Amino acid sequence: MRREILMPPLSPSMTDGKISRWHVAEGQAVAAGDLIVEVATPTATLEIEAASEGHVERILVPAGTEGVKVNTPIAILLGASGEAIPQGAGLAQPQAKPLAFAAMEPLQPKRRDTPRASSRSTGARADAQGLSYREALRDALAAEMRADEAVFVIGVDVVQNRGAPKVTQGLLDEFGPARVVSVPALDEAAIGIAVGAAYAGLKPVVEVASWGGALATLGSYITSAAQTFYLSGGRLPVPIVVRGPNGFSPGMTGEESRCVAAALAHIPGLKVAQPATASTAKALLRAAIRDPGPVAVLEHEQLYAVREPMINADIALGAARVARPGGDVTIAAAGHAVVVALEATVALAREGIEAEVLDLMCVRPLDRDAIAASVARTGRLATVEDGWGALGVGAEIVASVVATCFADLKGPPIRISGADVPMPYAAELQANALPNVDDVVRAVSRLVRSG
Amino acid sequence: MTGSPPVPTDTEDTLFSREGDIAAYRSMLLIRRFEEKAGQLYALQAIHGVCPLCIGQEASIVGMMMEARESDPVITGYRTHGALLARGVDPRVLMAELTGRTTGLAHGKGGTVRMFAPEHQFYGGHGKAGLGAPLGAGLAFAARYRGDDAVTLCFFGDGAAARGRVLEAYKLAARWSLPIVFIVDNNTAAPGASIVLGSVPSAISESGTPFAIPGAQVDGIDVRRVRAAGRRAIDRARRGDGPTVLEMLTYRYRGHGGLPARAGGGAERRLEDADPVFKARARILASALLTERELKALEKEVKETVVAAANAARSGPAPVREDLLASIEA
Repeated sequence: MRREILMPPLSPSMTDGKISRWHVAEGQAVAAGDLIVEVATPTATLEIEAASEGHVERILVPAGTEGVKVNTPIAILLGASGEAIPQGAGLAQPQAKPLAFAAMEPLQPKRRDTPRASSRSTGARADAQGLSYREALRDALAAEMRADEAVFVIGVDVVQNRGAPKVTQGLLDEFGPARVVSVPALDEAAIGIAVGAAYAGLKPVVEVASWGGALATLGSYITSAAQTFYLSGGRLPVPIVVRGPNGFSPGMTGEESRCVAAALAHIPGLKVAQPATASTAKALLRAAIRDPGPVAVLEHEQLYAVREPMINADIALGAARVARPGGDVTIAAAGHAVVVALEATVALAREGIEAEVLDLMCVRPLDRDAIAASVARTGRLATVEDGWGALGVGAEIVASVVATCFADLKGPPIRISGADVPMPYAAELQANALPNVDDVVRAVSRLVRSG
Repeated sequence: MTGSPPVPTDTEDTLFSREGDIAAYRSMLLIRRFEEKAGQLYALQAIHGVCPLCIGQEASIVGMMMEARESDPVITGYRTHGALLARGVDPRVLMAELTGRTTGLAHGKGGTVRMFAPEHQFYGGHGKAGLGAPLGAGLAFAARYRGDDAVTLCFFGDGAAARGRVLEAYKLAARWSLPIVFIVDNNTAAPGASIVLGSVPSAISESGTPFAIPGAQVDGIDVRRVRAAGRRAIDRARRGDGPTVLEMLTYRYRGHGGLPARAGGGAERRLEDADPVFKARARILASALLTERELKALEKEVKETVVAAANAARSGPAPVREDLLASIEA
């Protein structure tokens, strides 16, 4: 039986790599465990073993080829006679996709982007073709850096862009190392320098590799940056943006897969934006950089490559939007949870339930008016968040609705949230630790049918 | 670094002008009298919370401030009053902040630790030990970014000097040759510390060595020596040659608020033995820069300034409920 061997991803963020060498030749017999090919990225090299016995029929991509896209066929393997080679045989399996993540395919046909060499090209491209979430963030950064010389980016990966975001790719070419500032580690001093620079009136944009992971070093941000305007009696504004991927990252555990939205939103003095789409990501990051105070922009690893046609409009921090109108129930969510909620509406519609998805866009300030207005239309409320539910964003929304529009409610509001545990490791556990589309469909359907 | 008492390492102090000596004395005396008054008000519970005083450390603050330009940013730990006064902030506004009045620098929101006066290039006021070091490096980063030649003065204590965030700040300040001077007031009173001036080795001045940051121990009792050391460090930073660590050997005579600085009696010293204000006064008299009578007039004026500030601070309007939710977000 003939099987294609596909270019494997060495990491969740890898888009392409190099075939550095073949350990086998065409026609050669291989046994399970034999090395067949060596694959390399700028940060990793991996030798791939055969999973079962067979013959190499053809090598499709010669050794030395660079930029081979993940999942491109690179060779054809012929199984031993009479034996079916399982799908993907001969290769390390691509990263297991947790169910919640697998269920998250975009609603509209969307292309996955490849990171571009220069931001200038993205700015020039017609918006009708659309931008990925990452390109939209990059455009926002570049536009604000062009408009205001006080804006600079600082982080560990802002020059080399080896990690998942690749948002700052190309900025070094246009703005140079004085404004694209690479630090060896995002330690307390690097964060403190950004906060101090904001004291002095500059507008730093700090990139964190993971919001949850950065919490340990963000002390001066969640204290000094958040508090100083108030505690100085209004004398000293601190215009700093911290941005980067927040929440779940496949295979990452504990704080490195933690959603910090509720934790940050709890702090007076901070604003917390959590964009779900490319258009809103662009508008929210621009608004964040222009804001005179500290703003946290919570991005999401699984959204960076999602592309959509751009709607260019300014967004005020603290305004929600109706991502999908519907009259039966309000589903309030922010960031990646909006994507889950939108997908759930497809299945709900098949059951005859029209759900309104309210994309909060910011969890602080929270658009309580928009939430109340939506609940007034639908009479029912469900909240979805990846973070822990107890004392979380959903809890705040429910409390707000109960206090302001209790009479509009036809039934008790529900919260759908991440499991009340640190993110575990095994893919099966991770899949169960986050709210997925089925969870939302089941819970919302029950809510609507109960009254 | 060394067990022997600090010795003069320069001759620039002979260049200190007559006006300089008098201005330094006046500035140090204002801080001394202000801190004594704050201590009284603290004992009377007109000031609550903590009230870290800098009695005994005046020379380290004033000597550095005299050498710096007004456009040079200053940042401190939680011991803020001396630097704010040396920067020219109105003592009435400072004292009113300590008593929590709306006429205070932060309208009663910040208290002793959270005092910011950006119009005087004073950037706080930071409660967490050593936090001023990375934030100060950020101020220096901003000067470098803008291409101006400002040098940041960053004050903290010996207790903060070994904190990780300070050493991390050294690393980045050295990496980018940031224009900053780290001034460590070794006041020999950090919790658990037992360093007595000149009697126990201290390597704080060498704490920048792993990052190739030069350092020096300075006699922090003598404002002339402080200023001379400050000149070398500030000039170096302004030239673009990067940071310096100055360890000021001082002796703080009062604890945080009304408490004594030390529990044990062995390390106690008397003000007359090593006191920057007494020393400056004696020098003025010995050099016949002013007569005893002229000095007394100056001292009376300073005292009246502080008394007026304290009276205004006690009688100023207290904040009301509506003030609580003002200026939450920029």
